Amino acid sequence: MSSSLEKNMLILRSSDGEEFIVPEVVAVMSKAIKNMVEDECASNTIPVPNVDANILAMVIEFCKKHDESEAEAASDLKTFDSEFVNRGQEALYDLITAANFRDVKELLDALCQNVAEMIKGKSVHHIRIQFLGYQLFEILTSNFIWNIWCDRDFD
Amino acid sequence: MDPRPYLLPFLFLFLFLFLFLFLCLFLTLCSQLASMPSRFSSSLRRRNTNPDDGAGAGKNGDRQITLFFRSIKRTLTLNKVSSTNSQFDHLSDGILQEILLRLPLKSLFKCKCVSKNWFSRISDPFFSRLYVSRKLNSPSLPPFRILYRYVYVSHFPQILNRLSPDSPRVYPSHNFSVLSLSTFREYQQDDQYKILASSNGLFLFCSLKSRLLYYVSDPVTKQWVCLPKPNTPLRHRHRVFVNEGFIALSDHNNLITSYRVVRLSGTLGSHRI
Repeated sequence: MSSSLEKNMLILRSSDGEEFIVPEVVAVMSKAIKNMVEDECASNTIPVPNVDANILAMVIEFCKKHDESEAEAASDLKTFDSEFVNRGQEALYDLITAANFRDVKELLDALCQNVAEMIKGKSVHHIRIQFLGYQLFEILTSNFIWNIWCDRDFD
Repeated sequence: MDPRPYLLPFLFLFLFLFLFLFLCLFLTLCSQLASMPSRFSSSLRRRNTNPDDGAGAGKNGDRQITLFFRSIKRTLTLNKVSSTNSQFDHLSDGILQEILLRLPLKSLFKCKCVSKNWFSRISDPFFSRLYVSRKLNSPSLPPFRILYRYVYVSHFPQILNRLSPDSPRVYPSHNFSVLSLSTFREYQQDDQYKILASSNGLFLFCSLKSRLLYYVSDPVTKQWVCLPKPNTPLRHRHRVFVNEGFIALSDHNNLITSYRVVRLSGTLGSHRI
């Protein structure tokens, strides 16, 4: 029994110590974990540093969904992706970091697409405030002429 | 015995002293409020860690004043700064590139203004090559069209009208980017160019005013390179039968390594650059 568990299931331990039991097919969607499994350097428990339990649960949820719906319609998957990545900016940032660090290509694609959608159609100041942490007051007072130059139409 | 004539210069002196003090106060206020872009990052980082530690303020002894103005500034700002807001600036370059690659061209040009980091990233020739190859290889992403000034279409708005989604002649694509090749200065000069060939995302132009001027242009970064004039002189000034060919070679990273322009005139003489 335990050997069959070892064969098919992997235990992922997040940075704050929580453990997740995941099927191997799901876990190897992350390239980094896949490499560890293939090199046989992973024992039963795989530590996932830099990723806390909350984010790791999200990533696992995403991978599971993608693994299940391999044969399903791609449009379903797309709607799931767009709903999945529709989170607050903090979670988005953490997810991107985790996906990049664990090398989950599908998740990274979906997240980057989402951020691109957020950037699309926004003015320069919006992008600055939203993504670079500039403050509205600072932008207004910093350089008036330069602001006008930035906001000109690019057609 | 009237003391007033003696007091008058002192009065002026005090007046000037006060004015000078107020001037100093005003200058500190300006330097605090109108922070220049170069100061953004440092001031942000300071605020993110602990806004009231006053690391750079205690030098002049006006720490209280600085803190006061900083608190005013904080109340005036509409967006509360959270520590995660500026985290996107610290994302690794690969992710930023991935995000930028997914933008349509118009937003991409806007993003050049966001910060110096983004500007240098977008104007990188490698990025533009990657962008073009990504757009060409994936059919799902909306294509972009190249718009350029041509001698037979007299007015620029006409082309735009023809390309607008309302006109029936145009393909029903809602989400395409129109990219005008000419820069603002060229509009003013009213120079006109003709696209002769394209290869791997680069274009070969010739100027219509002087036939011997050739340009190679990258439409994404809007870089123009003027080719040197061919040293074989043309025998007839206005030759009709001139063909130009253009090949850009790229390496495995899709980075253009070299390009070659071939020019065939009617007498089968060829010119290579």
